[in-house]
Amino acid sequence: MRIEAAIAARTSFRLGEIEVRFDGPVAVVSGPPGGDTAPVEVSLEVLREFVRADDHGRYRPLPGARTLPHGWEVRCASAGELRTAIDEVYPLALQHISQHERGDLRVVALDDVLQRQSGRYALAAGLSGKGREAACRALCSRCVRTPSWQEGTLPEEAIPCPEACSVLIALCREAALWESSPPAPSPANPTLPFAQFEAPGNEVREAYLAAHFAAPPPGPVQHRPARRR
Amino acid sequence: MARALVLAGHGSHLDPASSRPVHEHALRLRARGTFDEVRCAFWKEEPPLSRILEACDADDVTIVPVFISNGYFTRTVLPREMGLTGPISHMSGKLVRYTEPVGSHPALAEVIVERALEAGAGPATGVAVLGHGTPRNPESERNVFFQAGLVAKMGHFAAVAAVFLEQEPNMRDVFQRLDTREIVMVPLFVAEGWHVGVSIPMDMAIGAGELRRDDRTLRFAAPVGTHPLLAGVINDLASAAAAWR
Repeated sequence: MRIEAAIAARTSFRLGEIEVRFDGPVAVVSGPPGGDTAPVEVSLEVLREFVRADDHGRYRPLPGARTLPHGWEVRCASAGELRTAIDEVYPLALQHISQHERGDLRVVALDDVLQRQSGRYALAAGLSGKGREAACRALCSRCVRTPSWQEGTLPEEAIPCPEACSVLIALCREAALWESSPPAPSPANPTLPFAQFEAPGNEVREAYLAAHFAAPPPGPVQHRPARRR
Repeated sequence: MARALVLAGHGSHLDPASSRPVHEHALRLRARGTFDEVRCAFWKEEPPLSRILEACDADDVTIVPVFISNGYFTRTVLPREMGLTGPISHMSGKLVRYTEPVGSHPALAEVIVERALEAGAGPATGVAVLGHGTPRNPESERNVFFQAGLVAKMGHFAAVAAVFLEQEPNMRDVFQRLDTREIVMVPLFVAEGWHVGVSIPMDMAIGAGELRRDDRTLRFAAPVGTHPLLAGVINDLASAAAAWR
């Protein structure tokens, strides 16, 4: 139990973009370093709201996105407060790490998640295999969690992702629409809302379009006609 | 037996205000100490609905949908995502109770009255209870008409009507629906989100919370979902479910 052992032994550790160190009786959770200035002290009571916006004030609907604000720390007086602080930054991460280490993490395949959608998200299940791979590359590469539902062994320091999140489902829905009517690429604009995938310039959208619709390398198989870019 | 309360909300990919009242009500309910743990879960935010039951330490879990209408989300999405089989489910050694949404509880009418009074409503005022509504699901209007009926029976105001954002009777016709000189519109919404904060004031051309038409005025109240009294409504729903066997 890597993280729980570190908490019990009061040894420093890193989790995603945060670091935890122990200062006497206090556990200090720090966000990404903010340069030369001393970190701002944030109270546990406001931490959840504080980490919901990035350095530019942009809403972070995906808590695992590597866009935590820089230059802050929270001082926790007990192991319970420390777990609460971690849960405010990365909801359920501690549970999923423990479940993974015990071997009882319930993992749900991406196709199962997409197939069970209804309403406006029912379209997501229509996304091709290639499109699903591109969606995962475009979004999950921006997240500190590692998909357990993809093939491969998780690195020891990983925060497992047991099931596709609602943001990925929303991206798959938009991407399914794009497969029948590919939009023109636009320059990525990192100030646009993170999950506003229908907006030209959204950075995840543009990463997806670049990955999925780029001219394929020379070879005998072409999944779709190459687009002019 | 340890007991947990889960507040199930919608959440948003675009608007952080959407889930804020749910978290605030959870704080209030933790302070009451009725439940050993109080957690939030969301359809479009984290923690997700689909993983929250496994995260609860308690083996007796009550889920209260922080939704106004008993429709698509409470009947289809939440049960599917949380693996529920009915008002009572047994899952992995847990007893899970699933209540009606907050919008179905009669005590919500008192919150509507509070919001109307805060916006300056008096005995001569007409109160419009504004629901979302949708022509795609006839169930979605039921709680709005129910709550408007309860507010009317309480007799605080000259008249009470239900109006809707996306179906008839539409909010744009509120001056025809109510004939009082002064109208207060109370949004039967959970959050100060996109609809309450942006789209409705824009569609209604409400500037600075007030719209004037000839000698008549329409004032826009805060949504019911952000009122601290809603925590009591959630607690009432959860307490009633504790007796289910």
